[in-house]
Amino acid sequence: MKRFLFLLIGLTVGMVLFSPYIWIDDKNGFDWQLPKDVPPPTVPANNPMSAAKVELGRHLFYDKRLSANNTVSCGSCHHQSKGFTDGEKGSTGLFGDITPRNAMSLTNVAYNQNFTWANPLSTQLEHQARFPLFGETPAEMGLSGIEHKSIEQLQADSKYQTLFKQTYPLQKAPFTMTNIIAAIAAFERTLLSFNSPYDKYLRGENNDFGESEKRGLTLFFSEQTECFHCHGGFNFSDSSVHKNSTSPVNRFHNNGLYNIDGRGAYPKSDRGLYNLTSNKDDMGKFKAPTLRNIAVTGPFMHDGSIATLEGVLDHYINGGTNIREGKNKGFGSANPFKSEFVPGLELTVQERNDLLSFLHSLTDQTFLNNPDLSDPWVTPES
Amino acid sequence: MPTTITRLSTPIIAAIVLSACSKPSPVTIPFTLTYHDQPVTCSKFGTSSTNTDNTIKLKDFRLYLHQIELQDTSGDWSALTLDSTSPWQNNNTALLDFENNDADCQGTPGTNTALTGTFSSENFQAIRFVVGVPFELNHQNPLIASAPLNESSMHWHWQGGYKFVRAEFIVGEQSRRLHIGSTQCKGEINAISHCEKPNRAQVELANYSNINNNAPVNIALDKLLDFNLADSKSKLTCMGHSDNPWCLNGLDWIGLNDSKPQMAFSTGISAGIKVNKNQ
Repeated sequence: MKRFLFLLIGLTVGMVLFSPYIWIDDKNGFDWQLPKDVPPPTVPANNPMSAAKVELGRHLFYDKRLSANNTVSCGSCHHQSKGFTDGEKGSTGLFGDITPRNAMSLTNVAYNQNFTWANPLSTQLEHQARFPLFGETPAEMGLSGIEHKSIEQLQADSKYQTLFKQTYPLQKAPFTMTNIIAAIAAFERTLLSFNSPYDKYLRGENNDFGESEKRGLTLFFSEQTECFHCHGGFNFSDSSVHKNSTSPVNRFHNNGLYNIDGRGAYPKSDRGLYNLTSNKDDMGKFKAPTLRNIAVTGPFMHDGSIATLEGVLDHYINGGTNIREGKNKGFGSANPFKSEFVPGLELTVQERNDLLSFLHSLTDQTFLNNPDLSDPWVTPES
Repeated sequence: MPTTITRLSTPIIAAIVLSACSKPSPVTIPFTLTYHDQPVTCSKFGTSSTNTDNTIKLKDFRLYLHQIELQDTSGDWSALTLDSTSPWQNNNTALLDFENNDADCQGTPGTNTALTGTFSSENFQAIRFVVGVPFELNHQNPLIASAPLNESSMHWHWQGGYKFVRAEFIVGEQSRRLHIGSTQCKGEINAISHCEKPNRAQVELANYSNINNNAPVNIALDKLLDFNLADSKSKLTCMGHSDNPWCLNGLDWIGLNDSKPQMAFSTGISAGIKVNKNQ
């Protein structure tokens, strides 16, 4: 059993030894403040990191003036305390419409190979930001066609006059949507979480990673549970890339959540990768999100249909979700497009509890409470 | 040697002189939007012909056209050279906009209901164009694009290309939206390499002549909106999925069904001739 743990540690150590860079990255000398065994994320060449840009981005991320009626900011659906999710099945847009998808965790979002639950075309945060800002089905921030009104409001704020000047000192007219999105993306790339009890345990630091967590870790990285195939790697997601990764592969999986017609159909409201490709084999395929901070990001799955982490484990124990009643009735476990790594599990009560303990050990309180990532428009209590 | 040069130059000079003499003629191609022969505006629409209890309201109607060509009186097709100083047009692509953000409409204040440019001959007898944005321009970032491709509400951000047609109505209490653009695309946003479904409809209208004193090209909403959805549970939002009846009807209407003629455009003189090609 232990060899899986050694393998994991070995891989991590190997990653460090053979990395040509250290944790201070970027030609501007941007300090990612990453532990030295963690590779820095990739950054688009046209949007280099800078401390000023991150600070501007933090203000914009939490600014409700980026919605058409000044009621919704990025932070409205991405709360720091919940791993930058919102605790709801679907999120509420500026006009009260509910999104069909569950707000994704922004934990370590800089390492995502693609953005949203299932969009291989969206390979940069700079792309993704346009979806909530301009999307209309349903409207989330509602700026489609009227972004200039938002920009005018920001421009009238002396705080932003300073922040934009500091971030884009060479530009005569820095108040553009492109610059706004670039800054938000830069801030989001600093949402880095590598200080959970699990991380401390790997680093040999004293912490509360106990026996149950250790057994859970071994189980997680075992062929018995298969968890690590889709949720493996330093970011617990096979859809992760970093500065040294080569030949990225878009990975999306059907995990047997639905099977409405017995032939694999998902609800028409969201069929995953199929929405974009219309390829029947892509039915119900979604990205495997990071499991870091997973315990605080419920409800779970792309549609928030599983309320608790225990429920998620039971989904995988059953090899899918079987729905007996209602319009989504069907045996998800028999979905023909289901991943081979969701065959169903036989776990003892203790093994189930150990896996849960391990998943809880991925919660990084430093990250969830880091003042550098918090809403700058709120005066801190105390 | 000088003789040779002179001999070669003569036809070139003659050609330059000739082309300078036959100046391109200015051309305006107006478009109208109608429902059962009545003009449609943000404040005026009417009731549904299939269910007169239902009033219809226009929310938005905009579309891109490109590769616009006219047929001269000897039967040859040449480009209508668009006036690219207009904010609604670049060299190749034009945005037609029938909503002014007033009354029932939700969109942008300006409208543009005509193509303007020049044509190499004085007279023409037919028109053809492609609905949409050409591939080379379709997958750029609208936030840094130049007009008329700088309109964020005409971009399908998650699909990585423009909305070629943005048609939105309220029928009775129901919202009906039709967005047509290229789908099933590969590559990355701002760098799409290929789309399985380009969804660019080619339209050719015979008997479209400037002798008829600038008669408009008409866009008739009849076949789009008279589609009976009363007993259908299908979504009334079309975002490119051809397995939804409202979507299929919309694709048929604009001419993207190879087995059916387009039903949107006509010259008022003769019915449209559909070129059965999904470009």
